[in-house]
Amino acid sequence: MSAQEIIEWDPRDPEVLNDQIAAYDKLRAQCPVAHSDFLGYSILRHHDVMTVLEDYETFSNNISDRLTVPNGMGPPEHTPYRGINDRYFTPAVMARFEPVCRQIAAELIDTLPRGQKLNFSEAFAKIYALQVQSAFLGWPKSLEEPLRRWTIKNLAAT
Amino acid sequence: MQQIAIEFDGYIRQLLSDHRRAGDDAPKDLTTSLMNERVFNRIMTDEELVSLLRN
Repeated sequence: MSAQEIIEWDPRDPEVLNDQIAAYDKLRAQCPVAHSDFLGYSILRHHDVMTVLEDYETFSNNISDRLTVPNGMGPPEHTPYRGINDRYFTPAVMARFEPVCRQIAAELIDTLPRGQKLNFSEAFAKIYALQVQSAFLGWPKSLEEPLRRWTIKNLAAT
Repeated sequence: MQQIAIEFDGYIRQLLSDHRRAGDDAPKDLTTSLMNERVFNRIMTDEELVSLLRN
């Protein structure tokens, strides 16, 4: 199949979102690879997915001149950086951090208006994610607002 | 995009530099801990730390 024949789809189409498995099954019957502006190329068959994952030289993550730790790396340099990441997300570290997350969630919810509809993502989730990340890394409150503005700009640019 | 990346780098580099200047008085947080992590028998550069934290 040439690139011109790759099927276009919309992962955010309500029909897709209503039953994603059925949508993937339908796509897979039509083609091994589909394309959307939202997700780029989607590989639909298990065998092909494994090929892409395991052949890290052909399907390299290392596609930019900019240093990207560890996402933009392949083996063997990926391994020690990924090892560091993994040490910070152990069950023991998470268990110690859980009460902090609960407290952040509770305090944020206390600030929300009662008895009215709100956009959960805007009013809670984005601020929660930022506060949890700052608390996790021990970052000062003063960095929260600049980082919040940075996140919005970064999202708009990507 | 480049400008936005530099802006984030600036915040984090400042933070790393504050931690480093504090030496033994630096807070015992995960940022300090990350700054002492070793790859290939050396500590990570600021560039590596900023990238890891961004991701």
